[in-house]
Amino acid sequence: MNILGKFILPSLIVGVFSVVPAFADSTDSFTFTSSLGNLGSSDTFKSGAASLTFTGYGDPGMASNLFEKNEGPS
Amino acid sequence: MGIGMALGTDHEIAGPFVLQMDLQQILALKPSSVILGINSIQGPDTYQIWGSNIAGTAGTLLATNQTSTSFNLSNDLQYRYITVASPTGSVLVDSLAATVPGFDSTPEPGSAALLLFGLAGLVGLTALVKK
Repeated sequence: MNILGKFILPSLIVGVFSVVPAFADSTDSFTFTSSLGNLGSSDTFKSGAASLTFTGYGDPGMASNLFEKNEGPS
Repeated sequence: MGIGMALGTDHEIAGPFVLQMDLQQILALKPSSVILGINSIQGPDTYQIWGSNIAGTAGTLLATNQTSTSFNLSNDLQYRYITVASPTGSVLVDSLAATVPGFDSTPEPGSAALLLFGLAGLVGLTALVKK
């Protein structure tokens, strides 16, 4: 094996293994910020490929409006 | 900032006004952990977490008298619908973080650096051999 083969082969191997996707955990984080005030009875938030839908209820099974607000009395 | 209820005390989740989340798309990712963030917990405020597989139904009481600003749902991922209630106080839901184990298609920074190192070595050695 000539010098080119000695060094090119290891370099290619390193390169190939470098671009193999890594197995790593990922986190979908939803932070529920939208316009303040009445959101209607249902609202959907997205993060990456996933979405999360909220529905408000008053009495069981009866929809009630959601409300986006800052902490504290309003 | 967080989500409450328009008709609840202080526009928060309070009394009969509860908030239900549909986790269907998150559960499809088979998360290893799901952490729910709760805020505006003041004084005697507490909250309950319920789990159900029927929309509009609270279902099974998973936890009560909670005062923490985060609630770990990782042991309750068999439920598609999670309901937050605060019968004797008022709270807001402000975040949710789902950790999904598996395949990250983006090479980590260390791997990218290794690739650049390998390519630089390849170019350098090729030039050396040509001499």
